[in-house]
Amino acid sequence: MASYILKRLMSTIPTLFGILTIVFVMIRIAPGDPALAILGDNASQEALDAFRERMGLNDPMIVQYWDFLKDLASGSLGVSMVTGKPVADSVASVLPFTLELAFGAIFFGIIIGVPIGIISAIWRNGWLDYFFRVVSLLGLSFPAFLTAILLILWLSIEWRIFPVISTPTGGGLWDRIYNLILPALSLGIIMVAYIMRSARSAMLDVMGEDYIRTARAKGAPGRRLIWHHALRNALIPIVTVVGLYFGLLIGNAVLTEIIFNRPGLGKLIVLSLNQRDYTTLQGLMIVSALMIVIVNLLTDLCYALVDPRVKLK
Amino acid sequence: MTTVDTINPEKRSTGEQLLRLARKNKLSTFGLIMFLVIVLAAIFAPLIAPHDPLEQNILARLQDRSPEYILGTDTFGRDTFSRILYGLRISLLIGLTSTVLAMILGCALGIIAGYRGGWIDSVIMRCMDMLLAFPTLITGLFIVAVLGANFVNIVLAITVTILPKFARVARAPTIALKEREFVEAARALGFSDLRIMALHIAPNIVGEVVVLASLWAAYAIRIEAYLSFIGLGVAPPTPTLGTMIRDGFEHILDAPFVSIYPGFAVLLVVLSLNLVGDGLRDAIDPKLRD
Amino acid sequence: MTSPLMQVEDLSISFKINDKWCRAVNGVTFDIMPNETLCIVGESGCGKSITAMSLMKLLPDTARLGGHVRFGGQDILSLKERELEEIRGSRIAMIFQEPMTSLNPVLTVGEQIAEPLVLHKGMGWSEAKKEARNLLDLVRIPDAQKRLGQYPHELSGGMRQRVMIAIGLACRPQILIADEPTTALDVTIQAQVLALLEDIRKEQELSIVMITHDLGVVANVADRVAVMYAGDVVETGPVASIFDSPSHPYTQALLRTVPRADAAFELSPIEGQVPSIQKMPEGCRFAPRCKEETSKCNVTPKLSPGAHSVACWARGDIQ
Repeated sequence: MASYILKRLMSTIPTLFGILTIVFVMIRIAPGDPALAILGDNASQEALDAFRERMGLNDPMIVQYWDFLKDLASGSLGVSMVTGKPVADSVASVLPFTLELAFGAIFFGIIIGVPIGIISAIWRNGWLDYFFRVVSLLGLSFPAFLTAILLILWLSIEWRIFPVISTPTGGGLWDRIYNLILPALSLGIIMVAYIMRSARSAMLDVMGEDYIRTARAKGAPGRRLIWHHALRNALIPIVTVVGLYFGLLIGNAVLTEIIFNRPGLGKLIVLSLNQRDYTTLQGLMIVSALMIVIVNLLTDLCYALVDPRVKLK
Repeated sequence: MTTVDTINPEKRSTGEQLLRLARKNKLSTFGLIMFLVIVLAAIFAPLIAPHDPLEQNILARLQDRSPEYILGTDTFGRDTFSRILYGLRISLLIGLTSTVLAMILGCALGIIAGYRGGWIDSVIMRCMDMLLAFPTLITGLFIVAVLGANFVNIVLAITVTILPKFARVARAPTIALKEREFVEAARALGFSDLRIMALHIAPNIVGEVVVLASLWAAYAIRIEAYLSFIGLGVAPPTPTLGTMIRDGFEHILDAPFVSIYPGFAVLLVVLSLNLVGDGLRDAIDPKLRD
Repeated sequence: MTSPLMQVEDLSISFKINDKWCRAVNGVTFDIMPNETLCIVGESGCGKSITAMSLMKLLPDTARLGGHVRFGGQDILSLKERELEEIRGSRIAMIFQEPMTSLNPVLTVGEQIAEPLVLHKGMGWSEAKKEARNLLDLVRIPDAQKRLGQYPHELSGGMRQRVMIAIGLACRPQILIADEPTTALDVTIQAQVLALLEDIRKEQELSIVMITHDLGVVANVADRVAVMYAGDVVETGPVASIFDSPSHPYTQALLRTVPRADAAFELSPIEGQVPSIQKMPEGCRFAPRCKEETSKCNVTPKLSPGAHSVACWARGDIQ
């Protein structure tokens, strides 16, 4: 298992290396002078020179690239152009909030999406099936900000169940969960829709399999057929969908974080965009790509968990 | 008999086929009509819009629906309905341009990778993998942020985001097609690779690609809205749906409709394209049909 | 005379194809006696498998069933799903053609064998697992304890079919329906599995309904034979009588397709094809392929009475 994980991580190194290079080059070819952008037009020549010297902007490109890789190898993402603090620290301080948001969304996606997908499959082509299919198509067409706005209007302002602004810091665990529910639900709607669709088609496929007939011939009642014999097999495509749309989720989380005014990667990205803090931006890109790599790995580990035929080699 | 239909679908004329599809899948037909209406409304925005989208009316700020302002007004007393019509122009123009660009470039790369194989294949697909390694919205965000927010850069950003998906879709069938007799025959006749790829392979994968194009156009339009919501849209004063939603968000408590109507405009465009895409996919891949 | 364990009377099965009901099985009648192996034999597409499935009402809801399947004082076809669940796997069990796909890939062998015991015998899982071990011994799978924890993909084809048999036998059913149980297996494994089934039948006093297209299998294991053609039983009788004096033209033709040591005839295939379910001929369904077709053949013939009975107008002794 450990050796499998190591091997998998090794195999992503060329891709990661490419990503790093793209990000590095993009930042350097960006139009405009970062020193001017950050210090402003009124900055003195000495200040500008000092800034360039401190950020290593005067070095030849190849030297900068080498320093960049050297820093990365030691786990450092460099320092912020604006605050001068290590980028890794500011990323680490907000990453948990984005992760809890994303996993909260996946949680809602699964607990709502899987059951309605199964119901849809059981009453295939019945009115309930049509209803859920239309609802899921609507769900995956909903722009992330509209979902968030409507949920705030209904659940926060109309019914006053949840706070308008999500403040995940302070308070106990329950407080943290309470503040997470609305944003996670809002982000999770699209997940519900995707998971429902894949759960439905996976269940339809599995229910036609020979082993379901065998289970019926054993006298297993309908509930057991669905929840025990079919669902375990249908989980495989469902896991795929969760892994596949994780990237979409992280992207949409940017909007959710802005609307609910939550700290997180998204808010940090927007902040560093506005401040032209290129080093922070660079670090954020690398971290988000790394997240996708890790989620892909987790997806593969999940396969092995649900499907005994999958061997981790 | 059913068997005849499924074995020889090309025996029917395209029009006949489309009609049959339309009858079968009412929801998708509805989506197509909805999309066409939206496109027409956007094209003829100057004729339909009751107000100038930029005209401010300080006396009529943040008004809800009225006969004068059918979808209300924003902070500056500008007519939301007119602004949505003009915003749709930007959304559709950026969304569709980048989808078409991504489709052409992505398919070209995918076909070349699949047809040539070897190191060309490896290099192209590795590059695509790199692009896919970022969370989807983040790629676009990064590109626009670094290059600056304007029409060309936004189109570029969205194109780069969805291009790898087309490349992947085009590559797989190309590998299968290049072994087929008609491609072998074309090669034996001495046709150039370029000609074979363009005239013999591309037409055979167009079906699948168009289905995905409609689904990803829906996605592209959403990315544009997200970017402008974050503040990386086409520069003001041009109205874009994302900017309208963001501006209205300040008044979520007292005038939520300012954000909600443009939000629903995005929803309708995306939904109509998803409906069309779903119907097309069911039609092209009968395995997915229920 | 012993009374039959199960009586199938005028069983018909229809499916809706293009908004038209098509009769795949056309009113078949046969008995299953205690302690015997009944082989239902015929070409593929003649309705054997769906006949077998309807003996425990396993067909999907889209099938329309007619007639009666009498078993233990009840008519299986009129039972509710709840009542059927009590019979399935406990008093009637079934094993299928493809051991590869018929076992659930994500559940252990032990759990799959233990399941009917838990469902029907009220056993706890640990007790049922112990019994499952005994069942693996019964079907002669070596290393039973280890096998219990394995998954189907870790077993060979023959082994999987033995596991299927163990599942079928778990609750000591009165009837075991075996739908082409050896078709997917290698010839040597086939013989082993057939021998196993035959031994178990003798030990456990159970009746086996064996569905097969393979006359070799029939000769090996059958006590009685029912020959099906296009949804009809055309001939039925004791195995020796069927092989020695086949009466129906279809049975005769079928027997000419297999090599026999004592054969006085040349091998010959049956001309033509089984008619499609949507275009069944009127009357005797074999008539279009029959060399002895008479003017009466446009009316469906009935099975003649007696132990060896046949449904054919060309045989004088029937009405």
